[in-house]
Amino acid sequence: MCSAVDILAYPSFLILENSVSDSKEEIISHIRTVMVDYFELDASQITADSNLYEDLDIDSIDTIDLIIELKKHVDKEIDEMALLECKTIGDVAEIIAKM
Amino acid sequence: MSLKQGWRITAAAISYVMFGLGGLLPGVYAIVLSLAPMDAARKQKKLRSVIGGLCRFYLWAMRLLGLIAYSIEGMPTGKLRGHVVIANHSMLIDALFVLGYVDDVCCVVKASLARNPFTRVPVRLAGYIENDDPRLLDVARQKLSLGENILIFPEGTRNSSDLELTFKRGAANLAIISEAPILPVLLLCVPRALGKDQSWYQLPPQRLRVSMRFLPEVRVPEVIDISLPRPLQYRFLTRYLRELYHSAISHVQRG
Repeated sequence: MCSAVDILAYPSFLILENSVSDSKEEIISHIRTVMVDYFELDASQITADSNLYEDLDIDSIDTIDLIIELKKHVDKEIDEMALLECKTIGDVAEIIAKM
Repeated sequence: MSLKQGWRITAAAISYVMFGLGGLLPGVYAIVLSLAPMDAARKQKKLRSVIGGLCRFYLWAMRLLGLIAYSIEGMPTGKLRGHVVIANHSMLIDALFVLGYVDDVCCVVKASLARNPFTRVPVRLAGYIENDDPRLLDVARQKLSLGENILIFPEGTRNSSDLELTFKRGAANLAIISEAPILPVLLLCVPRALGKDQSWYQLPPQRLRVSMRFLPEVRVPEVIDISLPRPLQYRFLTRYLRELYHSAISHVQRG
């Protein structure tokens, strides 16, 4: 199992595997599912405007784990560095939707 | 104000001056060491040993001045290697106890100390990690794998009450990613003093009694399910550690 630190050393583009729709709403819905399952959050807390760090208590290590989980479900390349700079759930969904 | 209280405040002032002057010693020693023909690891060990000795001296001097009394229980007998050392943080002098009584400890220090001309050399030579280092976790993991111990105060800053214990996840992140054991150190000061929002001269009328207790080592796979996704592991371990401290402090307070 690779660690969060190992992931930091990866190239900035990750090749993604499975497939989801490009719709931003559907991406947010998927992010919500991941965050409820992996970050002990309540689904109602997770909206497009939710700030990852201030509202959802996500830290940089969590963001890397979130990228790993999103990677498993999206059939696209993800710009890891761009995701690390995201502030809100909407920002994350937008980056994935644009790819 | 009683005579004793007046003396304690004077003793606190003497201690403060002593910290300032004594703080120059590691700097001078580091400069001498930096010129010595020996490898960086050996210099680091020697400097950390001097810093540890200086911390013990400060504590001894404060005891001699009648400012504090302290006891140390459960100190590990063998050599401590590759542990994440954690401690609750209620008072200004917590780090003195850990640096003084735990071998080969690496601290995470304010980045400003690594840039200050007076502290730059000792901070770098002691191998301390700057808190704004983007590779902080990776550097800490490497140090643990080399047998160094890393000190983390999970609360990040001094608490406002002994049972407040708002733990951040940094210590759990490091222990899980590094697969390192955790050595919890409990520090309790009765009555509370030298805390957050308290000035050094705001001392209670009685001598401070500090208890330093080494709690049993925590091995991560024994306390949480390591097959869970890592974000859950970080959270569960952080909660476990917080509850460990809450229970230990409550136990001590009940006497």
